[in-house]
Amino acid sequence: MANILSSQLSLVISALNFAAIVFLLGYGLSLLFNSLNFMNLAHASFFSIGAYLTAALGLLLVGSLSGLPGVVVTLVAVLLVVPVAITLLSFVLKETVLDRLNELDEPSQLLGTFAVLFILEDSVRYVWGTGTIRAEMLSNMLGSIPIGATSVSGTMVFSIVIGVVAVGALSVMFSRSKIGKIISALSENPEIVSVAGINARFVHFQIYAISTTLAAVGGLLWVMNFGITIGLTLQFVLLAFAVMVIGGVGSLRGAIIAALMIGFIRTYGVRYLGGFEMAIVFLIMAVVIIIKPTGIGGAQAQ
Amino acid sequence: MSYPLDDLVATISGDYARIRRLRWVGVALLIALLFAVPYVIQNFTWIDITMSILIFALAAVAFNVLLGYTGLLSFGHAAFFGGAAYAVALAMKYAGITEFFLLMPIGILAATVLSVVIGWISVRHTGTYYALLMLALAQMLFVVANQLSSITGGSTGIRVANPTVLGVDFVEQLGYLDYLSGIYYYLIVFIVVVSLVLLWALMKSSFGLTLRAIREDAQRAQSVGIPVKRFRWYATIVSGSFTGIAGVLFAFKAGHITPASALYWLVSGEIAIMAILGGIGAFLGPAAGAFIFLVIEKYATEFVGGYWMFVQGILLLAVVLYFQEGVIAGLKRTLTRALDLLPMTDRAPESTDMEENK
Repeated sequence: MANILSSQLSLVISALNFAAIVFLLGYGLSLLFNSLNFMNLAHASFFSIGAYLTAALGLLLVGSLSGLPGVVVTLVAVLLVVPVAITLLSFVLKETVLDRLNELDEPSQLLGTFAVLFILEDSVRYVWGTGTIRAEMLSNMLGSIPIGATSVSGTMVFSIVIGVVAVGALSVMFSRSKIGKIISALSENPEIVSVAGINARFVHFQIYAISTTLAAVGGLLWVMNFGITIGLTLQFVLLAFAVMVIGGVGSLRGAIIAALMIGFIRTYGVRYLGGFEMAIVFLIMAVVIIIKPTGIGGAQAQ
Repeated sequence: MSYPLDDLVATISGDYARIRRLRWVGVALLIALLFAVPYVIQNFTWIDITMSILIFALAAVAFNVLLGYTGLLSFGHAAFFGGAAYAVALAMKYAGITEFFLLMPIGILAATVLSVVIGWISVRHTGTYYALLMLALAQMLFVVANQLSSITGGSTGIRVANPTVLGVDFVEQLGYLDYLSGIYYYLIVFIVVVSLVLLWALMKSSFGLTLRAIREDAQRAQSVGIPVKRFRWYATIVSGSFTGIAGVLFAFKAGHITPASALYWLVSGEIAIMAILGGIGAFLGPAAGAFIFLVIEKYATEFVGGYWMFVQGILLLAVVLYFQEGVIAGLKRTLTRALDLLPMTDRAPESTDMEENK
């Protein structure tokens, strides 16, 4: 009995872990599309590069400080540096290419960001090669946490914690902060921003920052859990899209539910169906599109 | 008084009636050229590239039925391309069918069935959702092909034997190389030309006009009684089926197909890039794009080595940002602008009517 419980528990933790990561990946895309009407396929690249950067940083930092303070400092450092770096990258891309694509029609946006994805992908390959990069030093730092008869990976718990924190922070942002209210207004009426005397450009930067930070942190968690290689970008694009579609564009609540669904399907799928789990995710997405095209959370709801 | 330059300029920029007549001469010339290739070009590499160009030209033109004519961008055409290829490979392996003219309909059927199903799901949406839905469904097919390794050979793929053509095993008669550059090459030319003619006739017909009406203004089309979703579905079926023809040709040319070579998203991406590169406004624009793309690929891989994806990205980005009509129309525009700089060029205004384009 205890064995079944503990194996189920580790499956649940795995599922929640994957859900947290997928939420971070997908909600950024959803937010960007909802408030700026910009479908950025290269969003998955931010996730991916975040993963690579985290691994690189991990190599640098781990071992320099020991003990619990060392762990905390290293994690905080990575959590700060990686999102900031990727956000800066996104700003550069925004100013050079993405803003111009944003003005074009939808197919052009898709094609243009698809091109950016290609460019970033090969650039990453140039720097890091085609092998799998892992961040074991970071995940080893977190060790495992014993629960009852079994133990649970510290990294997974960490991911779940980060996921919860992110959801909390976003909820607070939308309900209390100025930028949150602006974003909600934007999705309903894009012109209201310039009319109400708000600096539209600054708002755009903030939205990019939020969206990219979420993706970068997601990538950070991904590499700590699974390692990263370049062939995965398509999976990231589709996962992000699945979260957006199943959850409903712009809907925070929907994205959470979608991420949980995907997390559990994938985890139990891998365990019991081996290999077909992604196909099932796509199937669910197709079903949702047929039955309720606006997604679980509905369009433009927060 | 008629200046000689005026005639040249009139021909190039404004006098579309005359161009249209010249165009048929051009097409006939091109077909004649294609037939001459194996005799003129002894270097097999270039014959090989020409075969690839023909195959992907068809795929790209078929893709453009959706993008250029109906206004739908699909990122999942690999499903039709690879689906047909796999259908043929599996039919050969498990049903023992070896005749080309039996296998081609099987491949087309597979592509048609796939496009009926995938299209039905996808046309509930437009724009982004349509594009990525097609991508996801195509990727589903990829995963299935990869996983069912006992049937499909998994990631190592499946071998495609050489077919008999009209019952004759030419490989046995002539040897593989002569078969490939002789018989199979002409088979490709024949099939591609016939398919393109059929597609062209379709696009010129009221069906094509309806699609263009939908592309221009779907709401207005709906309000005059056109069942927009239904026609988008039909467009997907047409596009998918003809892409399947290209897939079958590809299978026999390659001799071996894997999920990565036929069903992977990069294949969809390449077809899309070819179409856009050549210009989606003209019927044969994507064919030109296939030519440009494959030629550049040949040289780029020599210079840039493994970073061809980067070059593709740059090309696509450049076209999307600057040459939105594609290379052919962009060249036309640049040429007419250049001629404007010359004195005494009193030309007729350039027609911007889409109907005029091929």
